[in-house]
Amino acid sequence: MFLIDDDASVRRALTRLITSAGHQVRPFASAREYLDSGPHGGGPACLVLDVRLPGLSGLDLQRELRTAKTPHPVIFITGHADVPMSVKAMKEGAVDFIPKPVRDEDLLRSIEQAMTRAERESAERAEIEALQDRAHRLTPREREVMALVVRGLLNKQIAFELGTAEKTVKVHRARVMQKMQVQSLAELVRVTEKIGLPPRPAS
Amino acid sequence: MSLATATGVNAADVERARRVLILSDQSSVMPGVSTVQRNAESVIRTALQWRVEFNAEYLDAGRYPQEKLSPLFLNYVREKYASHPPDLIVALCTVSFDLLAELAKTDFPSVPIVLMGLTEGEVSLEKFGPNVTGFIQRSDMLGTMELILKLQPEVRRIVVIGGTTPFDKAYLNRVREDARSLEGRVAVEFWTDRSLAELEKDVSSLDRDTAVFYTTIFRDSTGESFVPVEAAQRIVDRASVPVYGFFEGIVKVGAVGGSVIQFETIGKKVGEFAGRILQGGSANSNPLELHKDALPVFNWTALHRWGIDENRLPPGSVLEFRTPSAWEKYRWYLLAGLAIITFQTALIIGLFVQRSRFRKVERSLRESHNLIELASGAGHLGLWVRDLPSGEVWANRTLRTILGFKEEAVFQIDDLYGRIHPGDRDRALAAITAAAGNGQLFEFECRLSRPGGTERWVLVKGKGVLDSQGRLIRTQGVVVDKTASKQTELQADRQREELTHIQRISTMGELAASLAHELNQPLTAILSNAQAAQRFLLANPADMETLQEILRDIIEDNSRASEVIRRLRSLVRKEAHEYAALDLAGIVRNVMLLVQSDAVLHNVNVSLLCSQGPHHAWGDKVQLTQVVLNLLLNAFDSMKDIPADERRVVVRIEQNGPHRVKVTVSDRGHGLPGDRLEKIFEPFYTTKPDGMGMGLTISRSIIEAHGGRLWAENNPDGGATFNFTVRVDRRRTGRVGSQPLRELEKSDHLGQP
Repeated sequence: MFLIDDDASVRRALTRLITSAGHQVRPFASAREYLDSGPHGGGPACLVLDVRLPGLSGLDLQRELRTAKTPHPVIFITGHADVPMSVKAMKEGAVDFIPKPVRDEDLLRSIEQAMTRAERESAERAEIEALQDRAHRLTPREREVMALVVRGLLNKQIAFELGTAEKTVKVHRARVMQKMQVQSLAELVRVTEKIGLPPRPAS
Repeated sequence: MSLATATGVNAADVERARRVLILSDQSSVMPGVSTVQRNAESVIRTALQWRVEFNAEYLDAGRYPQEKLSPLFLNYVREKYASHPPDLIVALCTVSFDLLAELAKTDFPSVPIVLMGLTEGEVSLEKFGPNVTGFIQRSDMLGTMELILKLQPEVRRIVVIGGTTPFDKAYLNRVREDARSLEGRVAVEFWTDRSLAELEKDVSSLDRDTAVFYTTIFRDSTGESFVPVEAAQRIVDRASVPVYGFFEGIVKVGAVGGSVIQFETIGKKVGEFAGRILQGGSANSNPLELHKDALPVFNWTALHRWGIDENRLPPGSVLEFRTPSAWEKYRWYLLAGLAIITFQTALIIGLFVQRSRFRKVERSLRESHNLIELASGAGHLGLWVRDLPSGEVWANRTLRTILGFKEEAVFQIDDLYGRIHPGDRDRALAAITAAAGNGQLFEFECRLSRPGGTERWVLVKGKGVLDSQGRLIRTQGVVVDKTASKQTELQADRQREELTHIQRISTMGELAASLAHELNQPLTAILSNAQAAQRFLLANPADMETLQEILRDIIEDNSRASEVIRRLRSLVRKEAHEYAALDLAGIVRNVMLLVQSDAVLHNVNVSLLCSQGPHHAWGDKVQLTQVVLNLLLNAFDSMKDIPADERRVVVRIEQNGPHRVKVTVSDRGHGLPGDRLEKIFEPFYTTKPDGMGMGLTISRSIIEAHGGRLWAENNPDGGATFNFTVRVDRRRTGRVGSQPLRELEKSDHLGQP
């Protein structure tokens, strides 16, 4: 849990409230302070953000985090709820937009939601990373074969495309299935969808 | 010279001016005192061939408690006349006999004294030493009461009104004693425990079988002081039955009359005593006399008002304010006319020669007199000239109208002073005395209270004229009736205050969003802390240390919220402006706190630079706060379109000459086109879509009301600067000059990276 609020007293109170619900909190006085102490990747986490912050505002920070590799879910708290601002925040993917003074059940419920989401997203991120690792182990030829397999081409057609023997393709295909740890063509298609197009060789 | 030789005085003594010191334990604003003094002076001057120099000191014991004042008065007179002892002391005494006796005996043992004691008590002469003569003047209370019964046989009850000072009480006691002889004829009731205001009310509903006997009121039962004749005026004005009195001033204010003691006669007698001694007579050869003379004096208008038959008046009565019949009025004119015709016939030839010259002089005199009346009348200027040696006062028609005197009324300077509102009189007389004695100009504004209770505001300007020896011989001047413009001024003041208040409220509206935030922060902290505390309490064991911290924070946040509300209230509060010494830096800092969250919202950095202070301005706190607030919010507004890291406002406070402090508010906005530098101060000029356009207009009027200036200029390096100056608090003339600016305070709430 990261908490960013420029008001020291509010920061202290919210930290206590969130701690009392059993979460671990790291408080920051500004977006800049948070970014400078990063990166905060890795485990599941969420941010409680005051919209109105000196310097980089809460919304600016949200935008910046989305382009980073680890987009933690964001809960906004605000002293003056204004509709356009809350719509914008929600569109950018905020979990919630809570007006100050904050009621504990509202905040804690949102934090639960955000943490669930963070855990899910974190798990997904971990899975993708694992799949990408596997894809990295493919040889360039295997990668080419895999790309054509998931497009639904038969071995014969692949051999023709690559100008090689059908038998060779068959070997490559078996290696791909083995390295990517999948049992069926359908499974392979799902995996490649998850990691996007097979990355180019590391070299 | 032959006279001097005859009385055995040598030549050098003739040249020397005789000094007469008049000591009165009352004040010269009491018409009785001034009448006695004037007449005494006039008799002394006529009797002597030498120059006489008069000094007068007044204790004013009738109106002010004496415990502290008496010793000061003694010391003052002692010091003042130690090196120039008088040749004669005239003591006009009503209550403080001991004090005047002590002064005379210890400090001026060889100076003869003429004592005039206006008292009902016994006076022991030994206290004054051997050199004293004079007389005690008694009142004629019984005579006055007898007159009431003679004039109004239907009267069954006499209500006696008086005050609470010892002087007042002495007269009341005399009435009480004298009333015994009237027992059975009339009931005498004493109303002495009521305030003047209550008396005014109570006398307004008396039945016709009652008459009012007004003695004196120096102080009423509430402790408020009065000039007795003015209190009498108020009683006479309200009474539903005839009012009588025992001193002559009572007749002038419209009472029916009474057997009155005559201050003019008393004054002349004092003058005769004094003249005898100054011409070489001895004081101790003349023992103290007891005078009981009083004169039945009546007000003709009042007699007619109450339908009292003139035939009932005792023989020898004096009728004042009588409107004569046509024959009476013109008889002397006709007789004089006849005499002149006869005279002219006899001298016509002789006169014929000089006629043209006479005419010319006379015409030009009349013309110049008419011209003065015309010019002063057209300009609504009241003019007066007071000739001190003769005591004569000339006033033009306009002044008589302003003061509420009849056109032909003859009056003395005290009658004129008597028209000054009692609340302003001391100040006015002090201004005249201070300046006129040096031949300087004086000027003041004061209220007049005129018969009938109408109040007017006048401006008085005048000067004293000195003779070649530096003595004041004349005062003269101009009186302008300012009632109309004063009322407009007061009204305009009220309206400006109203508008200023409205503008302040509307400014608060502009700040509302950020102030809501300002309040929301502590409220958020308090709520979250309280909820966290609830949860901590459920835990087992409860974390007492954290709970204590939480409670401390809650208390702190509560005072933070109260502080916001206090700042708000200080601006919204509507109160009449109140001038005081103010710390300008404190005001600016307060406004900076007020706009702090607005500054955060607009990403503006505000700083205060203050030259070596402290800078104490003389002004109204709420209004100056309003000006600074307006200027800061305008500065924020001017920088909406420039990059956030360039938005800076600098407030400077510095000395501006020896008598002023200057405050400047500089922004980094686009500045103002040349033609707008003045236009922005016009009413309803605004660049904000929801602005009222009154902020700068009102700010300027506030600053001008503070005797300062508010103006705008463009900075050479961009942006605009608003400057205003205010007067420094005169009582704190401290370090002044152009010390280097030092950074006093910088808002750190905006840490621009």
